[in-house]
Amino acid sequence: MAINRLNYEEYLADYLDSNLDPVLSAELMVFLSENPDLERQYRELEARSHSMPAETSPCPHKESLKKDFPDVEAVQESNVDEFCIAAIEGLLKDEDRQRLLRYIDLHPQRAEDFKRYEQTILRPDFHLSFPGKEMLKKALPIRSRYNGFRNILRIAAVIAALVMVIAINPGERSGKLAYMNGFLSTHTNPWIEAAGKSTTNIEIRETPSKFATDIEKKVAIAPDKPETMAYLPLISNIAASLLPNPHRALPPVEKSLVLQPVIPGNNELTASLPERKKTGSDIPDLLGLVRKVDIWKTAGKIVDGFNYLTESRIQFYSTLDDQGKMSDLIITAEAFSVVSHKNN
Amino acid sequence: MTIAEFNKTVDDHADGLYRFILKNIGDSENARDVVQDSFEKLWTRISSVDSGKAKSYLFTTAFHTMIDMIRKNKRTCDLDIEKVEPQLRTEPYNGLSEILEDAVSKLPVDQRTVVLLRDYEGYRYDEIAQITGLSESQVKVYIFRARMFLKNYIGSIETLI
Repeated sequence: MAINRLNYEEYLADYLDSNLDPVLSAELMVFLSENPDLERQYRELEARSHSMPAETSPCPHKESLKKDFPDVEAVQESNVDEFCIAAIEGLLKDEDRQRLLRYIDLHPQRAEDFKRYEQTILRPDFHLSFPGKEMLKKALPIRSRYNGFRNILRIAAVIAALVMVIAINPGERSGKLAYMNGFLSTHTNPWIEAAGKSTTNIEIRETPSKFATDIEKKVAIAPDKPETMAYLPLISNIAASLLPNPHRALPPVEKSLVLQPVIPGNNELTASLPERKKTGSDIPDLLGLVRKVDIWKTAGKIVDGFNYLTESRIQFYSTLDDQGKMSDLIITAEAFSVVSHKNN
Repeated sequence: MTIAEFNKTVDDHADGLYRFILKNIGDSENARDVVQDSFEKLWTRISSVDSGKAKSYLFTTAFHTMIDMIRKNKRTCDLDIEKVEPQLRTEPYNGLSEILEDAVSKLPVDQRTVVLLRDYEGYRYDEIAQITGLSESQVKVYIFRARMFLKNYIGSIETLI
């Protein structure tokens, strides 16, 4: 046997570390049994190894060994530029920034560098401006430009048209124009003032639906007939005359429509669709023309069209009473209706 | 985007865009062309570009237009201009802003672009990456290099003075 009292400790150590092969382990056990004093030592060693602290036991100074990043020591000559740039870029937390500043305090030669880094932040020269800014902008559509006036124009157009309608044959109606007088008295258009003398009950109400399609179906006439088109430029021009500066209004009349002079004494509307003509200055002619129109007769049919000034669709139509006589004349725009009750 | 919003975008961003391009290429006529071209492109896509993203769209478009212009000019210059030695500045600087302006003009285009977007417009790294088509880490690297260059340039000029 190779194991003896001089070398048994090496074998025993290997055995305790589980590094001894089975044959030698058996020999070691035989040797220990033959040497009870040594066996007693072995038992003590074995008992102590079992009671040794596990590897998971906390090291008493573990926390002190840990490193925080970045700490003051982490800011060093090799990376101080990165810390400076991170600081001016706003990427450092407050505590890291403080650490950087402490480092700079300790290394005054770096203070100048940090200041220069701060100076690298570029600031725009606000005196420089794009010279053609207005040219880049796009024109708003007519609809948007008139946005603020649109509702006013709608009401004005409808009311003014109705007032004119009433003024055409004042002898046929009775009543009063209570609402209208209040509205129109602020305007100096003599034609409209004359209309204020008309005698008809008038009410203004919101259009329940956009258009009275049932009436339209019953009595609509072809829109290409001249008399159905005639009132649309009229309304536009009246509305234009209500504007503070009517000359700034766009030409309100459909370009293809030009009204012909009216033969004195003829109360029928004469209109045609001749060559194109700008009609922005036709207001006096139109006003003269309308005096000759028997609007009540015409209103027996529907007049349906588009008002180019107010960019709204407008209809004239009438209602009949039980005897089949006309009872109301109604002018309807998109948002408002004006109803004139006729006293038969 | 509505026409009114488009016009507001002109009011809000035309100047900033012009400054950004002008500082990049240093030529006011070309800068005007780039800005005008960018707004025309925005106008053609007015229905699909949300007003909140108009600024980003403008800067992206302007950046790419500018890069195309620089490449085109470079090709032209390479063809018909003889080699010119870099000019050394002889007149004195009039303050830090002038030193910085000179330093910025010496930065490579990529670095100049990212640092201008960062400082002039306050864009985040990811937004700059989106505008320029670079990765976010590339943007960080370019900004780091640009700052380093600017700082060293300021230092070298101050040393000379």
